[in-house]
Amino acid sequence: MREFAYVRAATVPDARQAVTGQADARFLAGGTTMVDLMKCGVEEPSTLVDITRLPGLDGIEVGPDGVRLGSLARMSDAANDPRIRGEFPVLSESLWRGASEQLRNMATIGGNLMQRTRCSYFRESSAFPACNKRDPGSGCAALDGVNRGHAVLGTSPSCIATYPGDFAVALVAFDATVIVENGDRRGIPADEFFLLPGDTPHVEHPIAPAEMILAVEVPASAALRRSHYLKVRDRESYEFATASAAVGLELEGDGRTVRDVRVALGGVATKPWRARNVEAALTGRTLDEPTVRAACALATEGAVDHGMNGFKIELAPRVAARALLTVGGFD
Amino acid sequence: MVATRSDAPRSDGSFLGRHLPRADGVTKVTGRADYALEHDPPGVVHAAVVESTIPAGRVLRIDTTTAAGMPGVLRILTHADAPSLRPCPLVPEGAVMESFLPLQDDRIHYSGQPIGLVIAETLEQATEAAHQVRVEYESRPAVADLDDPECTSVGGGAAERNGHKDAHDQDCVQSATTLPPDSERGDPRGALDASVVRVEQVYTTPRETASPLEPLGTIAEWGDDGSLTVWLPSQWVEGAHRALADWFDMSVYKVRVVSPFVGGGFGAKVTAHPDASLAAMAASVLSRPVKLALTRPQTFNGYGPRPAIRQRLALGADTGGRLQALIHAGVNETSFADEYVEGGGGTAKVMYAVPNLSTTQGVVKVNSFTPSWKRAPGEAIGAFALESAMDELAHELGMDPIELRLRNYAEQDPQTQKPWSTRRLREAYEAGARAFGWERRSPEPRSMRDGRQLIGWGMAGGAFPVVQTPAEARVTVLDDGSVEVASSGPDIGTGTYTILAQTTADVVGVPIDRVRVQLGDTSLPGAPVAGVSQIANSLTGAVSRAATAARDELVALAMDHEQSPLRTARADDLVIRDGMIAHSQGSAQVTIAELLRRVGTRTIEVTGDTLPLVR
Repeated sequence: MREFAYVRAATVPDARQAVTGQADARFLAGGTTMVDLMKCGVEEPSTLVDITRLPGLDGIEVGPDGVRLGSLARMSDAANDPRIRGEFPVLSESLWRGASEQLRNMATIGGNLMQRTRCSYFRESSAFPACNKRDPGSGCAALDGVNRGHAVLGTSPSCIATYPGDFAVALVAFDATVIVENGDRRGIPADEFFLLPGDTPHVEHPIAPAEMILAVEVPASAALRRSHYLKVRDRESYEFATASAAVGLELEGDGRTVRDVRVALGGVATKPWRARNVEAALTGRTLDEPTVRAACALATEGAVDHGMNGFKIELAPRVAARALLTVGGFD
Repeated sequence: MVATRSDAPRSDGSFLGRHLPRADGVTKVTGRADYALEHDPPGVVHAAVVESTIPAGRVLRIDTTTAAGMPGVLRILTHADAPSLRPCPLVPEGAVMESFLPLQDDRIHYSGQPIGLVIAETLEQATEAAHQVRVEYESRPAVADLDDPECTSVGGGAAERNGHKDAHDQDCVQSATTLPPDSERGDPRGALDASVVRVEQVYTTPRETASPLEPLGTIAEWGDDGSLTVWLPSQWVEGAHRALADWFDMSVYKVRVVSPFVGGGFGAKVTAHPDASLAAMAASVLSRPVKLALTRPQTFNGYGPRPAIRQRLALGADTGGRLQALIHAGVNETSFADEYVEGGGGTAKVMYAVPNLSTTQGVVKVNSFTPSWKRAPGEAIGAFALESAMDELAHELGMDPIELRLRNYAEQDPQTQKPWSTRRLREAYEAGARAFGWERRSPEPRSMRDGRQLIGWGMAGGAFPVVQTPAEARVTVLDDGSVEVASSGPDIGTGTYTILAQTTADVVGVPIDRVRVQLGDTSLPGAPVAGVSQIANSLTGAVSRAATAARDELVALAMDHEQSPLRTARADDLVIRDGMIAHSQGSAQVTIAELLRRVGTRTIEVTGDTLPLVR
């Protein structure tokens, strides 16, 4: 671990100034990713700027237009908020199914979005020098390595690392916006907040180190109110997704025709994967099991088996279908 | 020492069989249990391992220049300058499961092998410096695992095994005289060929590490008189001190191993491992106590796992489901240095009344730490293969799996033809079937559902031998009426502190909260390994002997000593209960404390054993 300095910021401008002013300075919120990766030798900041005491950034606001979560709100507080649990189930479910109770009490909404891949070749810096995400140009050891947990969608010859988070999958499904402070304030659509690896896998988000996430806004919709997050994984808890789906459904007055449907996949792609082709194949159709399964098969169009993860190409559509059947009342 | 607690009424003084809080419970949950690595002897320094990142080859060069200059670093040991160790023989003659000794030469046998040891004032300094050690290797092709097509061809031309030719198995299986002999009864091959119904399968299980909650590690401290004291979590302190004595070419009497609390063993802590020799080497070089705590990832290469195993099982039966033949062939991985055999045929030999049977073992050498015992080595893994095969046989026959077991029930030990001392397996099947509602099970695969979930439902049985080994214990009655019990046997979390207190309280006749138990220290009377589920029976036997003798001395004192208020009573008339010695017929009584004070005896100390134990 590189020796580092620790400072506490009192205001957002102070925090941004501290990061801008020092090479390799980084924000520190809950620390559940940062400190972990510092111990692995993957992150080597010169300075940690503790932003946890910045006032006014931990709010959880629920209104008729939707939800606004401050970036410093804890995962556990947001997950347990009775309004979110009751009115917008996918948001609560995708939060409480992530990590562990202890981690959720420390981790923040903003930090959760920024979590990094669990790829072993990325994390084990001393044993595996070839990692384009950690060291651009060094190669990718996962391509012909142990890649059971790696992505089948959104991959490139440079990187096949899975984005492991859950909450972001829900945000992408429901067209959330990430509010970022840059001197100006700008809103980045959730789907655009996560970048494909391409040949720059070390660049994961379209923001600079000194840009701070302030909040996440999720617009209300009927589909968000009838939503669900299904996470399929090797263990029942404290485990990342092998394949997951965030879904939402709105039916027409006849109770059978699909008016609005949302589907996004987790655990199988290099970023949260909005399955618009599945949505298009279901909108306006009668909701029944064969239709759902046929549409969900489109979810893995273009997927690539990298040697040990081909099973995800069959699993992901089934997970999406199961989640839709649940919200559709077919269970 | 641990004091016992009980909030149960003391009237009849009977503690065995009663539901009591653990003797060490409060101590543990309040953080006062001193586990091995939670000591900090004065002047202690910290070590961190430099691990090989290749699985096979040689260390060409180790550059410690940067590391040596880092803050707090005291010394960096490599094979170039580490003290020489003498070997300790493998069990059962000796006390180790692996012959590997760290930092003795430049060869690399497994990934994660210690190739350097950094010692610094703090753990953080040692860890950081270890990361800065630069190593140049000469890498050689490694054999990764049981399925590696490059596994070494040892003892080539192995004879046809069990009538099942398998080129891969033949090339890679070593048939060496160090392996246990094959076992055979009847004519298994002929009987299998003649069987109308046959099931033949291969069952594979991966490497399994014990991974106890408490990681491995050692604190070592040398005395000015050349003695060595070591704190490490151990299932067998006698074994650890034997290993250390051999490694450092010294008398066992100059080594003391202390392990009063163990955070789980499961086989990982049966014998001392490289962390112990590393810590002791470093302590001798620096003349300061050294603490080496393995990190969690390091514990996966710090001791031997249950190895990966491939078991080939063939069952032959008649149409009535009666077994005619059973052929079990096991192959497990082992290191290049040692031949560890997991076995697995043991369960097959005793479970069912099959007249024709053979079991064989082979090993495949791979680049790994020498495997070791983990949770019922042999029996657990053998039962998995056998019961899976029986399940498949039941399906083949269209027979209920329990019915199949009953048809093949062994009324006596099928291997030795001796009667069982007890066997209630039939009753267990019936009780289990009743408790689980087995009659609700429909045998057709995929026929049972719960909503959208398919329900699979089966059963299996297992067998484990009863083992007892000689043990010693010392019981001391003090003149305040309390009793101390001492033995080197450990409590690995299984409750030894509690059961020995219960035993002593009942045998002597004192309240359980007057009993203090001391365990896990080689300065105490000797005991065998806490393994093969033997410590409870081995230690309670020794404690019971010693406690009975102590009780008898108390009774004798009460009867004979002229200062005793119970003098002239007969031994049969005296009872000791609740710390009180009383005449069963009359009203005369005296507390143990009062008796000892009156007769002027400070303590009564007895060492008992179950058989003589040679140290």
